Amino acid sequence: MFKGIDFSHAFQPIIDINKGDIVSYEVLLRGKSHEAPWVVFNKVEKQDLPLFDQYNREKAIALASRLGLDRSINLNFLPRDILADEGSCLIKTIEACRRHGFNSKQLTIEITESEFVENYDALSNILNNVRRENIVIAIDDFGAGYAGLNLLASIQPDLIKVDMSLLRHINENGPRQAIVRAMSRVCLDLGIDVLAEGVETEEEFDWLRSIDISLYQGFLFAKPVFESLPTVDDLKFKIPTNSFTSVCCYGT
Amino acid sequence: MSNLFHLIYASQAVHEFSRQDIVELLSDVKQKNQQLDVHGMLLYDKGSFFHILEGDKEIIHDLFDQIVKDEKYQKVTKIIFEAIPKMFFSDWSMGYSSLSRSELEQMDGMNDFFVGQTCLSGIDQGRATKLLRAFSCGRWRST
Ligand SMILES: Cc1cc2nc3c(=O)[nH]c(=O)nc-3n(C[C@H](O)[C@H](O)[C@H](O)COP(=O)(O)O)c2cc1C
Repeated sequence: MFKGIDFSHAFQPIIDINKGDIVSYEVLLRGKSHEAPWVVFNKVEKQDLPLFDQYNREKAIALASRLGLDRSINLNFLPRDILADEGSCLIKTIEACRRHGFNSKQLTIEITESEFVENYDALSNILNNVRRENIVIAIDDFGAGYAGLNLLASIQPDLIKVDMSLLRHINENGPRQAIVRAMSRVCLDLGIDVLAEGVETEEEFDWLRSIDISLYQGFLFAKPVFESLPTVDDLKFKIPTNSFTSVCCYGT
Repeated sequence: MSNLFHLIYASQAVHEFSRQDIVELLSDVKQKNQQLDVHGMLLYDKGSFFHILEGDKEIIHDLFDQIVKDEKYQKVTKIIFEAIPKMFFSDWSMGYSSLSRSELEQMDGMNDFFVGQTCLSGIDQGRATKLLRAFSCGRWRST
């Protein structure tokens, strides 16, 4: 049904500095000539958008498989996609992963709260049900728009991606430092990993690293690459190896 | 078990627990949990408990209700109750750790959690592990 719409995908690496390696790639929609996502979305009838989103995700999984993906893959979902039809888009996505030889563990679903969610309970029930499939559940753009503490309190994700607007120039911005430091404490308490998204400068990175954030995505390391999975050697910024001091203290 | 869940809570002990108190508590708890096919791990450090329970959703839910109601020993804070893909502590009806390093290292399967990042990165990075780490770093304590 979407045969007339030409599109493909770009992949942006996610780096874990504790492992010194790329651990995943976020998939981003692109036009065939690398156009931005909205150019593609504009060609889709509004009522067909949920169907297109799913078609888009399954096509991305197929492409990742052709490219030989051996890490994780991050795909985007809107809460309303998940709420429609009891989360069937999640099940279909997990099945598509398996069909292409991936383990469900390799799938991270990123939920963006771009609109107000009325029924947190329903969302949290659906997510809790797919949790047993061993996928990773992430909140995207945390701290921007609606994506905030309510979502965090009700769905208890495995990962939050801190929105880049909070991280911009964080090395010299007191209020942002206070907020991100507190967020990272909350996440430690709740067993949630923190990812810094849209990191552009070494100064931002150094500050974030100083509060023990270990997951990064951003232009500092790599831009999204069209139809290709960049490797560690392709990164613009060499991954500094983390010192192994901060993890555990021993009680007596 | 199809509806596998874990529940993790922290609590403040109403009185200081001696080693002997814990041993007695555990032998009692282990027996009950075995009957319910509930597994998990209990940590105690300076007046704070940290307890991971794994098993069938309904069973864990009801068990937790009981634990909360029993105010003789502890004041409970629930941290999380969620589905899990597999049992993490299936070999244990209820493990116990007092968080002393040398003791931990003597306990089979225990040291993995606490002996530095190289070991930690080798095992499942599930929520239970992350919360254990948080507790071992001093979080979820009463004081
Ligand atoms: C730290 C702590 C952990 C406990 N864990 C369990 C448990 O895992 N399973 C259990 O049946 N009771 C556990 N108990 C005991 C319960 O609080 C409660 O006393 C018991 O379930 C009551 O059972 P009974 O009415 O059959 O005696 C625990 C108590 C404490 C202080």
